[in-house]
Amino acid sequence: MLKHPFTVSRTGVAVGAALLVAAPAASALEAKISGQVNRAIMSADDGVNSELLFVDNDTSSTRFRFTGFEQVTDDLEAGLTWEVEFQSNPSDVVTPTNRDAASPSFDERKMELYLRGNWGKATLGQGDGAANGGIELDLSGTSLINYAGNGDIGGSIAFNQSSGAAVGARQIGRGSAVLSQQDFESRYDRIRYDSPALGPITIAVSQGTKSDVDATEIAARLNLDLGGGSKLAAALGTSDLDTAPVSKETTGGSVSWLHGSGLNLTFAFSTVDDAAPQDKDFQYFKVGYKTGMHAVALDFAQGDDQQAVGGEGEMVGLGYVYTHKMLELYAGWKTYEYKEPGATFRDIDIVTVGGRVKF
Amino acid sequence: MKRLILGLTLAMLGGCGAKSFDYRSANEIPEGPGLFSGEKGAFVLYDSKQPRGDPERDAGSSPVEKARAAKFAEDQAEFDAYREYLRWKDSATGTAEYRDFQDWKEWKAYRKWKESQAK
Repeated sequence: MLKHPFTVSRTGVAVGAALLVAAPAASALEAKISGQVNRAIMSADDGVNSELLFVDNDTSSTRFRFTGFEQVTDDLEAGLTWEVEFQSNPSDVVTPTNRDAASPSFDERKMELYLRGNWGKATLGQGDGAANGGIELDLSGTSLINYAGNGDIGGSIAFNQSSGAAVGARQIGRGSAVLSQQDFESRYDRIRYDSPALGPITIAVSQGTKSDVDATEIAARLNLDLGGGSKLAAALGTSDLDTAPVSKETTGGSVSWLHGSGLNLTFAFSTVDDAAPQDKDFQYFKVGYKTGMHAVALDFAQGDDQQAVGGEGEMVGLGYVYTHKMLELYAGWKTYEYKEPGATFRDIDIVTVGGRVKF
Repeated sequence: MKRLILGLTLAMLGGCGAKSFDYRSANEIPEGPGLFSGEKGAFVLYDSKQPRGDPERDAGSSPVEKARAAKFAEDQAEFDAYREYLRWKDSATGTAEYRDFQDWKEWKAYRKWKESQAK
């Protein structure tokens, strides 16, 4: 039968397309870029000064990242994460007397490569220590405005002393912090191993250096799907920072439970044992409700002995987050108080309204 | 005591063989769609699982980018067809099939001439 040239051409296209589909290398390779902008307005009142501050919300800073992976063999994946933040007026740096922080610059978050197989995952580079985030598990949907890391918004604001013998600086959650969540050693250059899932549990361990000091962390995590939309996340960890002459040891964890109805409860605690004569403690409790695109939560935090024996800081907050696809809008209020033997301090109030857009 | 309680809770729940889920902190870049990256939520720089010239892979969220990707795919398909034609021409020259093709081309030229005369 005569073959029409146009038929030949269509066949050629089909064959060509089939070859092109079959052309990729034996291993899958993928590279992506993503990011977000998170800006807010803070009204901060430290009892002496009250100011409006335009900030980058440090609970989830403005940032972008490159990720990539290659399926080297059927049971071995190699990949990388390169993530940097770029903040103008970080919400944890500005204060009513320092409304414009230093000019923004790129700041490292993660620069790591990994190998993953059925034996677990090994990660090398700048990134999360094994226990990082273990104090901050939260299923409430309101973490952008209130979570255990309450120093991320207004953390550098200092309590103004109103009576008693003068004491040193007392800040919310940075520097001389009285209400730090003490979430282990955060991110640094390290090697980390994550076990494969043992049921719903994973174990992670890391060893690295932070500010020229050896850091070791170990943590266990539990992520349990209870069915019907109910979930439970829990973590327990410990870290050791080999400072001289006494090392700093942090122990802590958190539990967050989300019921299918939207009701959720979160609890976190941490203890730091370092060169100070007293242990530094932190406790956090949150109750929230999620429905559709709305999430609201009431939280309470307490820091004990973090700067002085008998020092007690407290925070009460209320937060709301509206989520619609790539947009999240949030509003929150927090009030802080601090007391210490022989001295009294003025309360601090912060109201924050802002939004995060993923691009 | 609190550590003990949490540790015991982890151990008991871990042993019950229940289903796990992938926990993601809401303080990280969220999953889901992005303003410019569309439903994928990330700009895919390279994906070996997608065929080259696939508009779905190459298209961004804007109509201009989608049209550009579709045109690229169309041109690539036409170029593949042209190469296939050249291969066929090399192998078929002098055959009855090739002569039939030449006749068909002449007929097309004749039809075009007739149409121009009718105007």
